[in-house]
This record gives sequence, C-alpha cells and structure tokens, in this order.
Amino acid sequence: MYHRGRLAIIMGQMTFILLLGLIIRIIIATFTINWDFLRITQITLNFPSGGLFEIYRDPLSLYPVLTYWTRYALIWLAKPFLSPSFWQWNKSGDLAIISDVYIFRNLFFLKLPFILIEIATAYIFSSLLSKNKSKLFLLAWMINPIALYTITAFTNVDVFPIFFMALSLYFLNKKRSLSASFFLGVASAYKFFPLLGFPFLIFSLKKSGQKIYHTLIFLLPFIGSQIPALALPQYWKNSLTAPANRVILAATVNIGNNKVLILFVIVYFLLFFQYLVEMQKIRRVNLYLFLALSSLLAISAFNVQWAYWLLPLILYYQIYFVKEKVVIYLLYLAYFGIILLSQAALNIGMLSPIAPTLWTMENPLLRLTGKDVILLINICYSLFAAAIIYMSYRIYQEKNREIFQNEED
Amino acid sequence: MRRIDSFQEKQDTTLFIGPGNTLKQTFLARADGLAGIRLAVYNPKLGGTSKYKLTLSNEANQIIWQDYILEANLGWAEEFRYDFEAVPESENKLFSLKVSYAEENDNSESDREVLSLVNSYNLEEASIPKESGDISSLVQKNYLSLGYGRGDNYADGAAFLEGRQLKGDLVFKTFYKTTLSTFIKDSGVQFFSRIRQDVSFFTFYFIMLFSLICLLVRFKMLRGK
Repeated sequence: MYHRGRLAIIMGQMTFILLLGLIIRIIIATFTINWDFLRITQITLNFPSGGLFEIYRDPLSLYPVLTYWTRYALIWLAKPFLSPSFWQWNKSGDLAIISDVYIFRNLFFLKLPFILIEIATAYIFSSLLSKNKSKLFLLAWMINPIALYTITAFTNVDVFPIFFMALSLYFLNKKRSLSASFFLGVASAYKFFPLLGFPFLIFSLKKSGQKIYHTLIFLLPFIGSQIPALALPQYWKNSLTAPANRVILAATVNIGNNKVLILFVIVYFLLFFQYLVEMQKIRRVNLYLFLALSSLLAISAFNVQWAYWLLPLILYYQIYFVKEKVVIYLLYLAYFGIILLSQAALNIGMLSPIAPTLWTMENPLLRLTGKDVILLINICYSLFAAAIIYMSYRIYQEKNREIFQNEED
Repeated sequence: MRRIDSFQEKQDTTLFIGPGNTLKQTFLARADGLAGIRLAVYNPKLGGTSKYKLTLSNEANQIIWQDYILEANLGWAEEFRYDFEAVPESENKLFSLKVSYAEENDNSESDREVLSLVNSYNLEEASIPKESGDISSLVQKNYLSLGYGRGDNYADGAAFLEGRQLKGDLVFKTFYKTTLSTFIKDSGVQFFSRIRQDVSFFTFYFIMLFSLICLLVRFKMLRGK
C-alpha cells in the first residue's frame, strides 16, 4: 500500500517534470529557426520530385538515407497542419520563408516530433537510474540549456540516433542484447557516430556465434537502409565521404616523412584495449560508448549541435557529482562561449522568425572582439575539452561500475 | 544600426557587367533612412584592379551618391555589402541602383558583343553558337556578374540591362538606418502584425499552452497535498 502510494507520487512528479519540459519547448520551438533545419527541410522537400537522386544532388545532403526518410515521413504526418506556402520552401529564399506569416505554424508542427522524441529519450535515460536520481535527471534534462538549444531551437537531427541509442541501452539493460544490437544499428543508420559503441557491445558477448549473429542484426538496419542510395555517386561524394564528416580525424601528431598519428584513432583504441582487459572483471558497455563519444568531442572541432550526444553523460555527472559544480559551470560557460562567439546564425539569428532582419545581422560580439575572436573560440573549445575529459575520468574512476544501468534504491 | 527594408532573393542565373552591359535595379524604400544595399556578386578576378561604378539615384534621376569598387575588394561569390549615409525621407520613394564597368580596354568592343550574347543566353533569349563557346567562357572570366532571378519576384521595381527593362529582378537587399529603440519597436510591431494574420493557429496555440499550464498547476497542487 505504502509502495503503491509512493509510486503514484513519483509518477505524478515525473509527469509534472515532463509537462514543464513540454511547455518550455513549445514556447521556444515556435519562435526559433536554424539554418541547418531550414536547409535539411528544403533538401527533404526534393524527395517527392526525384527520390534519393534529387536529395543527394544537393552538395549539402550530408546525412545517411534514414535521416531524410524520417524527415519526409514527419513532414507528411504534419501535412494537414502546414501552410500551403510551406511546399514552396525548397524554391524560396531564406528571408521569404522566415518573414512568411505562417512561419510560426510551420515551425510548431515541424518541430513537435523532435520535441516529443527528445522528451522520450530523456525519459528512457532517466528510467535507467534509481528512482531518486531519475527524477533529478529528468528535471535537469527538461531545463537543460544544451537540450533546449540543440533540439528545441536548433532542431538537430541527432535527436533520432540518440533516441535509438537510448533504446539500445534500455534493451541492453533488460539483457536483450539482440534488440540492443538492432537499435544501435538503427541509430548508426541515422548518423555514423553510434557505430563507435558497436565493438564494445559485440565484445561483451562470450560466444563467437553470438557475435556473428548480433553483427548481422546490427548490419540489417545499418546497411539495409543505405542500399537504395549506395549506387548513387552523389551519395558517396556528398554524404559517405564528405570532408565535413571527417572532422573527427583532423587532430594529428606529425611523426615525420609526411606521416601523422590520428589522435582520435589512438584514443579510441586505447579505450577499446582497456575495455577488453577490464571486461574480465566488469562489463561497462554504456560507459565506454560515452567515453568514446566524449573523446571524439574533446579532440575535434565539433559542431555545436553534437554536444547533444554527450548530454546524458553531462547530466549523469551533474547528478552524481553534485559537489563538483565548478566543472559543470565551466563546461556550460565554454559551450555557450563558442555559440556566442560564432556567426549570428548560431545565436541571435535563430530568433529571426520574431524579427527577420536578425537573419541578415552580423554578430555584434564579433565587432567587439575583432581578430581575437579565433583565440577566444579556441580557448572555449579547450576549456570544453578539459571539462569533458575530467568528467569522463571522474565517472570512470569514482563509480567503478556501469552507468545507466537499473539501480535499485 | 541597420534593419532590412526590401529584398529579392530568388536567383536562377547571373548577368554580366562589362563594356556596354550596365545593370540597374529599381526598388521602393518602405522606410525613412535608406542606408545600405547588398548584392549577390560573382568576381572571377580575385585581387584584380578593374573598377566598377555604383550609382544610387532617386525618382527624378538625381544622383544621391556614387562610388567605385575594386575587384580586389570582392570575393569569388559573396554578398557584397555597401552601407552609405542614410537618405532622409526615403519612405515610399522609388530609387535605382546602377552598376557599370568603369574601365576602357583594347577589347572593349568585342567583349561588349560577347557579354551581350552571354547575358541574352542567361536571360533565355538567345543561344550561344558552338564556335563562340570558348570565347564566351574566356570573356566571362574577366568581368563581374550579379545574381538575377528570371521571374518577376519583386513587384515594386524592375531590373534593366542597358536601359532595357527585363522581366526579372537582381538579387538584392536594402536596409534602413534606425536606432536601437526604433529597431525593437519596428520588430515588435511587425511581429504582432504577423501573429494576427494566422489567427487560427495562434488561437489553437494559446489555448493549448493555457491548458498545459493549467494541468501543470494542478499537478503542482496535487504534489503540495
């Protein structure tokens, strides 16, 4: 009886937090826009006229097939609520789209699925923590500035892979490793970064037969979704081998004779070796997946929207290492420093549905900082990297157990 | 502080400016203090020394200002920004911006013909004979071109090539000078006017938001009990 009553209170509190998150998101989403979101929507709108060929003709079509299919499906679902002018987005200029009187309606209905998926992701991650921590985690996510910036305002397509990554961790937690492999394959089909977790997942299995079977299940959505586009040279050029997707390999150490060591590859394999050794005592697939992602962000000129990949880890640290607030404050300071010192499209320009002229404005901060802006941005990147590395180390060292694994009170 | 006034963003092609190929765009200023123009510029001669003349005139064809730009000041493909002293009482007045080539060279006469042919081709009015393909591409590498939309996308003005009115318009944006308080006031007025034009959505939106907030308050009260 007592337990049932307590459960009802917790559920009520969770609903309260989710509602709060939904309201905040609905208010922000309707009045903000980002260049990436606009361009991806425009590219997706070419799908009905020429299929994948028409999509990958565009040099900015960076993402794998599933991202565009999902975007198109969501647009199709929102169809009854969108304005007739929306269907001209792929033929209109940016300012014409933004100053259209129906922009708010279009933004609301186009962004709503992103918001709901993000809230579902937060809920899945929170459900993998103990009851006490899960409430705190959910609240921290719902009001988190990185979440509000990257998903609600920016409408980052990474919301799809992270959702399926969360599902994968959820099933791994339920000891359903086959489902976990499948959903990790789906996540990697949206964007390739979840692929980094696959070796950890596979090597956590004991038998070779299991490993092969799980690999096939992983490849099914990952390769299967890309088959329709593999024959298109534009897909290879603009998406699979695009320079923008290779930024993670940019950090190198010169070893002479025109040879370099790629830092990310070194760090990733060091992690992998440590994982294999440590696996004899404890399996920490979830932790190592996030460690791989944090090392990726720490040593590459990441796009600001990628910070969403690490949000579960950042919040985990925030909840479990309450006394180490300085690290968290400095991480947010560095992150929003990068955003504020970037081009206006990443900060003030995102409010252009309210005042379209902001789309054409230059970031006033850049005038103040002058040429020092590059130095300041680099300092912010370095500080962010330091905070991420330190957080990862603390979680690795102090907890000495798996993260996001059902914890009993 | 500058705020956007008018714009035409659609672009299907480019039109060249060179000997005998002067481009002009007329536009209506919707606010006082016209103070800036941006054009989509394609400059094949990075670091070049040729000059182009910009002229802003009023309805009576009186020159308001005139200036020269060097190729060296322009990028390969960029939005060229030119800010100038604010024109007082510009609201609802028609202006024209003319861009012309300000140099003479030995090839002027032959280049004029080739550029006219290329512009006619880009306007879908003529075709380029195969034999002159190489010459035309050579000439194109020597002159500036501006973004142009073939359809009549801007109702308050028109583009002109050597005085001949074209069907479409150049790609351009105009700005007016304002203070911070007027900037905020004008943005606010336009924002609320746009909200009022989509009544059905905003009725739904505010009712939904209100209902969600009521639900939130109810949950909070339940928690209190």
